[in-house]
Amino acid sequence: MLSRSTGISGVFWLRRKGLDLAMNEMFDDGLVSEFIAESRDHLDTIEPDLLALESGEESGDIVNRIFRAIHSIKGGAGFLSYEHLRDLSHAMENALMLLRDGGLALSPALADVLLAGVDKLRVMIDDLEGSDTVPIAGELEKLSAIVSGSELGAPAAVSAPAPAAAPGAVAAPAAPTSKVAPPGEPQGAFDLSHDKVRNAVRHGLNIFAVKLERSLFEPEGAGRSLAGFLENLRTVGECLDSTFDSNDTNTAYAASEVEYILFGSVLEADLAPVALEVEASCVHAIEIKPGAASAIAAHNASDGATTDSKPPESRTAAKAPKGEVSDSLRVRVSLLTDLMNLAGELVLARNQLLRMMEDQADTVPGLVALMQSIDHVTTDLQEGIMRTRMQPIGTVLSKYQRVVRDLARQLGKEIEITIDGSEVEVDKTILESLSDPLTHIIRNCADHALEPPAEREAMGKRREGRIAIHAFHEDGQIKVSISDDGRGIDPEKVSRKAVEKGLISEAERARMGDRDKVNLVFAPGFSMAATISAVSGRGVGMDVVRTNIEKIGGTIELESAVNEGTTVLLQLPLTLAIVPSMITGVADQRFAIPQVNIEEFVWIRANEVAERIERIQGQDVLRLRGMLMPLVRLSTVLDIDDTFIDPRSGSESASRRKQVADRRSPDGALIADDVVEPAHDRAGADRRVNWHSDYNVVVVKNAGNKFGLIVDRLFDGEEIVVNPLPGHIKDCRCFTGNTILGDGKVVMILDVVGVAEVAKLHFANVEEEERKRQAEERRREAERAKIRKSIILFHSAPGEYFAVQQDAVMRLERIQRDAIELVGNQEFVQYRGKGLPLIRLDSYLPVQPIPDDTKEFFLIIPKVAQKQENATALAGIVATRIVDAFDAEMELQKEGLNTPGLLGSAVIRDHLTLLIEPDQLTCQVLNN
Amino acid sequence: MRQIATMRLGEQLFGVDILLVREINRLVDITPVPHATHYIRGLVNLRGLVVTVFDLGERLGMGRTGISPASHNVILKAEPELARIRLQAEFKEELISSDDPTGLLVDGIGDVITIENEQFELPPANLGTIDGHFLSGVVQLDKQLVAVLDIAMVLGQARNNAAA
Repeated sequence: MLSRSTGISGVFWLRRKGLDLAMNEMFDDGLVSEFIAESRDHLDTIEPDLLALESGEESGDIVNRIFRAIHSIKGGAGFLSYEHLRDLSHAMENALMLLRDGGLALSPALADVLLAGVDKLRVMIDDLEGSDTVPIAGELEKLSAIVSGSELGAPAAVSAPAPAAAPGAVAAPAAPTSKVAPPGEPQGAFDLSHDKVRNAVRHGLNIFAVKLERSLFEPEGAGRSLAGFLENLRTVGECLDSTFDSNDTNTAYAASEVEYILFGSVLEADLAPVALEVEASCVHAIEIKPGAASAIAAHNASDGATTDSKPPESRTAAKAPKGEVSDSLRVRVSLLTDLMNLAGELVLARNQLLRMMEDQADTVPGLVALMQSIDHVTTDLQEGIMRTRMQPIGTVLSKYQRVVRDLARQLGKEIEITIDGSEVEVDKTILESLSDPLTHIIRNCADHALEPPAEREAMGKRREGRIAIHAFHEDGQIKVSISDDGRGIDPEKVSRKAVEKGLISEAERARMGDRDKVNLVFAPGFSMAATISAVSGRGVGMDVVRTNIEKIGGTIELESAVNEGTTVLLQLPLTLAIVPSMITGVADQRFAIPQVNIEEFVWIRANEVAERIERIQGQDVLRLRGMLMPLVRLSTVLDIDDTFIDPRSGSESASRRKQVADRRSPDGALIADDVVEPAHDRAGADRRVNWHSDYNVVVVKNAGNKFGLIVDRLFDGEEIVVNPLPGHIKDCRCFTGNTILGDGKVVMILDVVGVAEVAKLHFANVEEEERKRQAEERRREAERAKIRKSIILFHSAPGEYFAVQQDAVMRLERIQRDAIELVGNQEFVQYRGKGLPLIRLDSYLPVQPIPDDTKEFFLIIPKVAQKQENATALAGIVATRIVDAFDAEMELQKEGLNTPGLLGSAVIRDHLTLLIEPDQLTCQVLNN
Repeated sequence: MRQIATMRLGEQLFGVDILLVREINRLVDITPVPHATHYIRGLVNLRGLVVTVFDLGERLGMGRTGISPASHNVILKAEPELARIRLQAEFKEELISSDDPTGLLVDGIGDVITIENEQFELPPANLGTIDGHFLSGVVQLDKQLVAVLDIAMVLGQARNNAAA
């Protein structure tokens, strides 16, 4: 649908008695398919217009537009004798006319009927031949009920049913047309949309249809010739159109008894016959509003009921929008595809030419400039042709206005939909495959995500649910987001359901993050309906949506917050035909990897290999910025004999690495093979690490999984034209297609998903390992935080700093020197009715003793280990002063402090501080 | 009467109905396709057209065809081209190819020979190590036997899509 029809029928036709030739042409296939295409365009505009009208937009222009569109359909249908199509569009037209003239307001009921009518019309257009079997009685009844129920009533001429066609005659539309001939006569029709006619009207000319009878010009008549008549006519006006060839008056006119001329003149209706010297009855004025245009349909000769020299219907001729002249045209898609392929080949030839001419550039003057110009023109040409395949995404998005409206009705919800970025252009192929997935997503939004109005209000949300579709460009891709402000997806519910259905294990569930859980809805066999709402599902799962999107090279992601809403983000390629890719090399072969699959390139030097690559459950793994990802050698996946090219002699030999990494060798690991240098290299005089020992890793991604692909070489990026895989190699899972590079060689395009499958990469194992490590890291972090968390800083002897962890301490008590009692060598105080042994740090640790003159002490009473639950307190550490209790950051030193009771030393607040371990001290005291 | 393009694998002469041959060239710089069936030698670029090249020796069980200065690539017509030709051809049932353009890698090429129908004999059950299924017939020349290939069999193409 490259062209937009302007709503003006381009069909000018004429029916004459006994002239069957024209009929045959009329029913030409081309005409019918043109009618179908135009009607579809009309229906596509009618629907959003009706919705806009319903939503209360300024109606004048819109009603006219709808009216015009329906009218065109009716005209064509009548002309082509599709009666049901004609009758239904006629009835709709009547209702629209009332609507426009203010006789009716657009009630929801009317909107429903009109929309239903549009659907019916669509059904009929889709199957024109069977259109007369489509039942339309229901719609007709409703429409006529609405029309007749309107207070103003319908103008007689308009509400009159379509006149029945006389046998053998072409069924004709009955409504707004401008009659150009009196009743009882063979009639013709003029196309009032003709530029000439429109110009004439614009210049204020009156338009007349002039009937010319042959008798007028016969020798025994007035003695005039047709040529003379026309000459006279041209002095007072203009011949706008005629039913004969007015330039060839001798032959054309002789064929028929009666002919008509469409005459434009400044003369008034009563003067025209006089000026033309014909009977007044032969001249009929045609009233056309300035700017108005409409196809005049042929009328049945036997039906004169509504004929009038100034038919009231002529007012109904719809206004043509100002300046709306078609500047586009319909082109067959296959033609565009051919052009596209040719352009692809041209690009290839250009590339080859440039490469071959490179050497000659200096020798032939002017060659460089010429090559550049060929280069540019080819690029522009290709881009231009690509753009012809691009269509605004709005052509797909706009239908969701209707979908959402109908869904809202059905479900008893109130939903507002906003569509943003309709102008973003997408390749036709992509656009076509976008429709189904989007419909599914939107249905899900309306059906499951958005709550009923009452529920929304109860939650403090707007009554009206919102769905927003937003299309935009980003990073050379098209992104489409579909958001709603509904109930969101509960990761817990979804993941539990997934466990229930056996899609994941409970253990896996426990390890999953919220985001992963939410994205479980894409898992095959997962039913959204059962988890998100009580409303039943529609059979097609989100996995199908995902598959469809991935089929066109896109990705889909889901983000959701409970009770806030859900956003589905689609990422789509601009076009399928040309793919920016990276060319990589393995041994003497090259492979293209599409850029969309490439995350980054990593170069691992030979001496870093050991620390960056490890092996987890038989899987080589690359550590990249704390992340782990499976690593695989492309040559291994593709079973390519990895040749080692000796840098000195240039001779090739099978690389040992291949053998080491080979599946047959049980201990084969990537790490090992670099430890073992190739034998002949070792024997060489200047033994060194050559390029072959480094790893070029292409980090690729597919559906959220990343992995590293080791290649031997990286070449340039190239924009490649994708060819499908030939039939004989279709089963090679590692490739999506092939392409011809600039040097004329064919290379295969890697399918990242296929490579991962063939390599049997264990993403799960690696993920698990990574989770384990992260957990470990968190544990250590937590441990460090514990030490950091809170300490009590105190003095034993003044000037010496000690610290104890707060959570190891039960109480701090202040005691007087007098309270200390001595039993043997051990000091005690009475504490809660018991004797509490005191710990002087200098007794156990190599530190200064507390001065004797200290009057007041503090007791730090440690918590009791759990096994001695009954005991209240076991001992008290004597401090002279509590300095502070706070959260301190410290680096604990343990070297040289092997004394029991001491955790270590650290610098806290610029003082060297010993960290006490109270338990061990207590034990020592009790053992004494 | 029909014309047969002959080609050589080792010492054995093979023939292909000339109507099936698109062209014969020296495009032997073939891009291998990892994981493809063993007798698929790879792909070549024929003026923008990607052609799947069969290793004829490997396909007929005679071992991998080596590359030498005499090596040639016999490019066969694809189905869409053949469909037209088949309308007028005499031996319709033999004019079957694959949907994609294909080529046969051979050791060398010989003359195009014109033979009478009666010279054309039914193939033996096998010819040396070659399974007779791959042959549609044999032609005895003065010194040599030409084994005429059944291209549909060689390309693994089902016979039922023949217009004949």
